[in-house]
Amino acid sequence: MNNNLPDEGTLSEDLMARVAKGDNYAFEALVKRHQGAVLNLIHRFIGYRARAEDLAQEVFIRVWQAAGRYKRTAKFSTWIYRITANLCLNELKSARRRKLLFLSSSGGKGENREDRYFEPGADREPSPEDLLLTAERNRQVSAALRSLPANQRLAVILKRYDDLSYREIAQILGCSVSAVDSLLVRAKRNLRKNLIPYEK
Amino acid sequence: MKCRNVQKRLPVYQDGELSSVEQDRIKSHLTDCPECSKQYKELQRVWDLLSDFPDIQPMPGFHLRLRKKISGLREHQFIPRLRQVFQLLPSPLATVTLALVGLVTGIYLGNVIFEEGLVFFQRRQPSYAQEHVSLASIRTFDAAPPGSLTHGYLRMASHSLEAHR
Ligand SMILES: [Zn+2]
Repeated sequence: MNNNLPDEGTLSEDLMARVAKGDNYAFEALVKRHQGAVLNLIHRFIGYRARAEDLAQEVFIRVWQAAGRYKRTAKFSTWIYRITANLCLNELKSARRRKLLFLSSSGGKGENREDRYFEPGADREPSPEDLLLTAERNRQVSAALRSLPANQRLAVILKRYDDLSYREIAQILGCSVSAVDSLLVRAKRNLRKNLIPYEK
Repeated sequence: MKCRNVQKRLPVYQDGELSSVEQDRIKSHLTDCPECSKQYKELQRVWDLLSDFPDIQPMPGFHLRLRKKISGLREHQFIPRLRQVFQLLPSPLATVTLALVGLVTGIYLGNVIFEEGLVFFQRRQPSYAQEHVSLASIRTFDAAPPGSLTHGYLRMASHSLEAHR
């Protein structure tokens, strides 16, 4: 085991190779480096802090479990974003299933309706951060984001807050660059519709 | 360039993801066209509004809780390891084939060894034993076919009975 504290400049891909050999320091360094990006992507996607924190931990558990199988074909950051995005989409699916248990079948129309997230933790006490987030404008932005279909929402978050290229977003979402292009065109149109009226 | 086409491409222009020729063309159109310019400003305003969803920091103890979860997993790794062992087995078809080959080989070897045994039991009647072995091939469907475990047991039992007499 190579249990030395890794340098700041060590590539995440190299840290991952050390994690595969059971290096706890390398794992800790990886978590510290990527926890902010992972947590904020999930938080912006689902809107609930406590659940976001649980899911962020789940992402790192998967990283730890997959260390032995990790191949350096893609950038580590792309790989971990991909795990995070998949977890977000799974969370959406299971939340929808939970919702279906409680609600009689709604007469919802519209292609995107199914993609919309049933707010998880809506049955839970809001955390102090959740309360802060209810400051009017923050709430509107959060609601506008969550009103987007899942893939549009992921594309917007990865572009706006992580400043990724269309190519990287395509790799994360497992689609083509032109699909990302049209996702963002539609997402921006939807956001304008939802956010600009509040300005006046 | 037509305004309609410019406005369609504005979201991608904003991200700087058009070809450099297209980027330049739209840029110069925006300086001359108030309507498209207004649309673009609105798009930028929306993008700015999204900054009202600030970054959060992980709660204190994030890493500690993660470590606890992982060490909990390490303790419960026995079942996944068992599963790994089973994953090492070839496909179900290969496993079944392997099992069948094993069974047939076992029966064959059992027969050969047992026939040797027959000679040992019936050393005093060699001619009878030979005749018996040659008849074995047509007695496969007997209740206790020659060479089977049942047959062996019956023969052993009768042999020891004879010895007692
Ligand atoms: Zn114009």
